[in-house]
Amino acid sequence: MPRTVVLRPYEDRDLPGTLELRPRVYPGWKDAGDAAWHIAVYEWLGRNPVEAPMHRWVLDDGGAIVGHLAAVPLAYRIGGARVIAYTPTDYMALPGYGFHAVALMRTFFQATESYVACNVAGEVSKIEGLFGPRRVAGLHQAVKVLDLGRYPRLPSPLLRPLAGVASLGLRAVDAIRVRPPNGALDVREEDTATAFDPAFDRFFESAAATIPCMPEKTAAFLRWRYGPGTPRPVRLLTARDAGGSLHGYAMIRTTASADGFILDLMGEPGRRDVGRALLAEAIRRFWRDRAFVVRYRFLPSTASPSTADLARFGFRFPGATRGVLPGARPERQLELSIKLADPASQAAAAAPEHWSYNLGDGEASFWVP
Amino acid sequence: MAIEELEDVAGTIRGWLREHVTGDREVANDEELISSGLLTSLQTVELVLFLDQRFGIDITDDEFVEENFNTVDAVARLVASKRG
Repeated sequence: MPRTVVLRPYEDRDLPGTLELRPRVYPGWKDAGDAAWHIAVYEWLGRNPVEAPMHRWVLDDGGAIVGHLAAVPLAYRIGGARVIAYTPTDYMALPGYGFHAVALMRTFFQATESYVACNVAGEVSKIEGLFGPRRVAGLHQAVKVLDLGRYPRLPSPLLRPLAGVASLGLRAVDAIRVRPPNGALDVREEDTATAFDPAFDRFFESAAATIPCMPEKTAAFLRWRYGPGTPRPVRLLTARDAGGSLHGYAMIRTTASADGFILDLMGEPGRRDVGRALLAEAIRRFWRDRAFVVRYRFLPSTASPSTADLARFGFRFPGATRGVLPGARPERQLELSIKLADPASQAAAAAPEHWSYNLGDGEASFWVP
Repeated sequence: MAIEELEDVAGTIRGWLREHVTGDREVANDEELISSGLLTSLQTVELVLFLDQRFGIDITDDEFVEENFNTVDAVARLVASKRG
């Protein structure tokens, strides 16, 4: 019997259907069936301070929810202008609904004026590609091995003691590399519940004055993105001078599987010492957390640490086809893409060198462990 | 467009489906492609790109609807209507 699939806006009654859909679409994702967590994520998305509504659509096959897509608004500063662009979020459809999955994405592009997304290169970016976005650049990937002894995918368990010994050597080298400088910067951890004060607004405005394209990371945004209620809590490191003025910050997270992520690292543009100091403190914290690896994905800018500094701290830059760790898959390639309604904004944002962008700025990072 | 030309377009689409979707199984002109769940999302994207490249047509948002893609005949009619 021919089926009738209806693409329609999400309604409250679709909550059970979408909660049941996720584990069917992502059977390998352990959090896919965590209903309370997903409900909390949408409550959090609903508190987004951007003054634009989130949209959601579902595919309804005779009362069964077989597909879903949300459009989440975020603000950007592009060429001096404030631009609100939407990101496709929580995109899923059951096998057998391929055409309708593409139709969902078509609805996204019809309903939203401007789009910015940072996707793992693959199926979703190909589907989005049908609707005309422009690829800006692949995010740079820097990976630093901390403790091979804790690496879960060692080719042989027999290597684990050897790897543990090697890691002691790495730690000894790092102890010298990341020694706090004798400079005037004080890098410390601050509470994400209270730290995001007007100094973060001033910091953002001064960065946006020299960097043409970046997410609008005001204090309000940072409170929402990384403060209480965020789906994956982070630790905030700040770099301040003796007078307490803010010169940069980093958001770091160590997952339950001992992966260390630098989700965001913003130094005062041109102040490489700030990036270095934040990087060093982040590494110290990851050692303390017993992370086995540090991953940092970003577009290089005057606000990010330099490649030379990353190399000096022991970061390596994996290629598209090989990982840094033995037996590891290649690192996931993340690509920033845009489709902005305003032609001047589109032209400005098409140049990768105009951007400051970090993994934590993108929707994909809302969901990873 | 003449009936013969419409059949040529349909034949080209059937050939693409055989090569990229069904693995050498012939697809009938009236076989349901979407409601049967035959096409994955990526194959749908690739079919649209193929039509664009092979026939020089640009399928608009409004034309991207199930009625235009559910059978080889429907896709061939869409192509024919756009080629004039």
